[in-house]
Amino acid sequence: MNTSSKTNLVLDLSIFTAFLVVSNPRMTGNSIHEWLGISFAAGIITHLLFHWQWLVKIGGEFFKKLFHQSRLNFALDALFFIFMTGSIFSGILISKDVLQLIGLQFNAGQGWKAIHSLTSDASLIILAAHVALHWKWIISNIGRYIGAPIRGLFSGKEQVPTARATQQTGSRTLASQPVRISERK
Amino acid sequence: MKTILKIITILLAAALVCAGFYLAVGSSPTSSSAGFDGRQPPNLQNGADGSSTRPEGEEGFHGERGEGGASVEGVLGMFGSLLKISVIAALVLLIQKGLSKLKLDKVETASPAQ
Repeated sequence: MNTSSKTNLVLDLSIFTAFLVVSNPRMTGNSIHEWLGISFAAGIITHLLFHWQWLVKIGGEFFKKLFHQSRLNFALDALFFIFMTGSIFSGILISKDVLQLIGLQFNAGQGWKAIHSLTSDASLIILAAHVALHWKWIISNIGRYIGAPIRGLFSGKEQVPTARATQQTGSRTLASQPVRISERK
Repeated sequence: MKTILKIITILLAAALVCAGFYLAVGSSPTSSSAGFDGRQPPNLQNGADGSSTRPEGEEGFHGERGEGGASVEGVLGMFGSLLKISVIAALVLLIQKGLSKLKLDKVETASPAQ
């Protein structure tokens, strides 16, 4: 599935915001917490579909060259998938509103509640590491798709981000500046 | 069609993970007291019509408020999560930077000998 950086950024920021909201049920109330938690699964599936080629490529050669950042990324992503799945699954089992709506009720006890909070906390730690490992990509794309248009608003000109307009050098992003012909000497 | 197959693969992987958690909780010694094996757990009460009800305390089932809008406490909690993520991400970035510097130093010390 070929997707642009912009689409990826929008999806990733949405998932990140949803994670922050869903990890604080006191903010939303229980009902929204449960439904947002379930819809979070759709976000993760879409994220995985967007990066399917990378998953297949790195998954296929995972054990060939073990100590590499891509493998670390893959291992972290796999752990995040496991913990998030565990969190959503245990959340469904201990849910009050979702299961009641479909007429089901599990006698899930303390074990599932403990797993729910444990996997949620583990997911938060792994998500932070995931963000750190993709920091350069996040910063350069935020600068390109959010920072540049905002700067354009204040400078009075709209800066349309193009693939040629930004050149990433290390951790810095250089955006091309418009040049007026009258200013040339 | 290809996308549907991919989704099915992801869901199968998720189902495997769920089965793993289910087995892990089922085989843990605390599961029997938690009512996992079909018995009524101690925290569920039977109503007059035989239906079981969840405990409805002031704090709800697992610590959160039942219904209601965004509370100040909740918003603060969200910023707390953001802070935790930031601190952990900063630590990972520092470690990453330290490791890459070590690697660079190693290369620099190795190059004059060649």
